[in-house]
Amino acid sequence: MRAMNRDELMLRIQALEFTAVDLNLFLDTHPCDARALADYNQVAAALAQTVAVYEQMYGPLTNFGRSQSCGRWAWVEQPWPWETQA
Amino acid sequence: MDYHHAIGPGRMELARAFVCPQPAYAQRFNPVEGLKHGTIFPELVRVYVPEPERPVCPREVGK
Repeated sequence: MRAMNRDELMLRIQALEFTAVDLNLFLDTHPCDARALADYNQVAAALAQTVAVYEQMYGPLTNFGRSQSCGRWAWVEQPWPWETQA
Repeated sequence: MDYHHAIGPGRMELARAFVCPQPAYAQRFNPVEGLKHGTIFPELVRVYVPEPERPVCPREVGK
């Protein structure tokens, strides 16, 4: 994955999450579609990788035990969706 | 289930569901394009009827 700034990473996370949700909905009604399933797994892996990169650089995106908060309690400091520039 | 609500001028329609038959998985937008379109499936873009051609709800007939 090429180097991206904070807004680019956030846009990629939002876009991958949306794609995962849409594929999830499709697979709910087409559970045997191998291509859709492969795409879902590829998107899920890309999403996890992008979230890991973002969190390493800018802090946790989620709380409730899904991300570690190093140094200080920081998940709430992330921009809200309407605060991003992308 | 009644999707009409008695509040406001007349009886307001709260929601209307459209179910579009979806063909087999063929192609999808890249993630950013999908986010912009509100769907990753090109065949589902702009499936909604423009307002002037909006079908009349059976409950609106005779009002």
